[in-house]
Amino acid sequence: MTTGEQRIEALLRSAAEEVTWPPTPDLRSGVLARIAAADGERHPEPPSRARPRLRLVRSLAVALLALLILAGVATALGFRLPGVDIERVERLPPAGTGLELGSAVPLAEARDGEPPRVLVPAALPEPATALVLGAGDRRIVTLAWRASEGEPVLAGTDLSLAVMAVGGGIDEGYLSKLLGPGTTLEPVTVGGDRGWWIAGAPHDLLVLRPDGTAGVLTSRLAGDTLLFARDGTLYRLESALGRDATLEVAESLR
Amino acid sequence: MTERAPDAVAADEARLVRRARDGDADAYGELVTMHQAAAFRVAYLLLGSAADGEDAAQEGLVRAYLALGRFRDGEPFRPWLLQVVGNEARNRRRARGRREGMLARAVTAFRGGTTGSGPEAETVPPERLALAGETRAEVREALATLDEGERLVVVCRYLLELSEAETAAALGIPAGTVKSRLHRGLRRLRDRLEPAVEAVS
Repeated sequence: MTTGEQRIEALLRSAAEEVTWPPTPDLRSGVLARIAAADGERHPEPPSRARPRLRLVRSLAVALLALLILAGVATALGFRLPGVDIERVERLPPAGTGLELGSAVPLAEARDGEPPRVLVPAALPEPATALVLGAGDRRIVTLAWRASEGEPVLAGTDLSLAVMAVGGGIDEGYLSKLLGPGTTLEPVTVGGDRGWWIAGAPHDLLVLRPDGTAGVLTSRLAGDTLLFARDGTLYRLESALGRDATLEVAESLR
Repeated sequence: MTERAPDAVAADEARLVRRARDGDADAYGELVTMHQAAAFRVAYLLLGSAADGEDAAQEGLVRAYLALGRFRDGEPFRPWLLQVVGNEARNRRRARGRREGMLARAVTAFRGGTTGSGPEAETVPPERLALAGETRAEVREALATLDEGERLVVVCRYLLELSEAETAAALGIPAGTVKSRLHRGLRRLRDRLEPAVEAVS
């Protein structure tokens, strides 16, 4: 080491005395609580007597896993981006041609069937229709209200409000990336949950599914949207009722 | 207060490790108390946020308890512990990078074009290391000119005061890589900081 580097070392060592690190949290309590919480599984594994054999088994497992991953990647590359499944899942037709949000189901099935289970707003009468589109963790449940006479409608439909429930959540950092010019994003709170009021042009959303994949949820409605996630379900209220009335409806979801 | 001899500390530590391996959680608690600052700071450096660092350090310390059977008696404990915590933090950093990369690709694919850069997984940038004084500001700026690998090694060695073995374990790189990155980093810092060094001298 040169003299110059030794002097740099000395400078760095003196700088170390002046670094202010974030306060160290009390990790001991948390670690001991976690160890105690699952005491059956929490004893350290005993020293291994068959370490070479274990290493061989592990090496084989790693090699097999690598082969499977390579095969998966090779297959996937031909058809789509690995890990990304782009899917346009939502269609609302022009008014009068009926809904294409899936099959109509009894309200009780939409509310109490397989997840995602949609919450129903207590502030409104029962919805005109309950619909289910897709299956498994890509299932979308929608409740739709037809506009009363004189009530504003979502453009191109005879609906005043659609409440949709999708399994998953939203990545806040990417929320604004899919919004076009002329669309505004306002943070709101819905029953203590963070939410967003999106007003302006139709927009698309990136949904993080429970299995870790992402899907794009495309809107065909020219309506404003209230978006929030609760208990692993993403709610989208497409509404012609305006911001405040839509927030009231959302607050009454039960 | 008198400082205890390193050998006595090491003997105490070895006793605590043996008790912890026999299921004595309190003994492990003592070990956590001894090393939690280093564990947290390593995780913080790798993840760039105190909250993420805390989560990763706690998870790493729980994993280390469960893996105590693999710790070899007679070896120094802290490098081994920092290796487990560093692994946990790096795994989280990779997962975060994969997830954010996946989202960026989804947006790009959807829009059929570029979206600009998504939020990348970052380590603590030098400007977040709170260093006071004019000379310290120069050190901070000089650190910012190093590439990330060199900067992590320099910060671990000199600002976090880890040994070379501990730095290698925490960062998951060979000791030889620590030496070469340190050498390159110090040389570049020297070029940058020569005037400040002269002033201190």
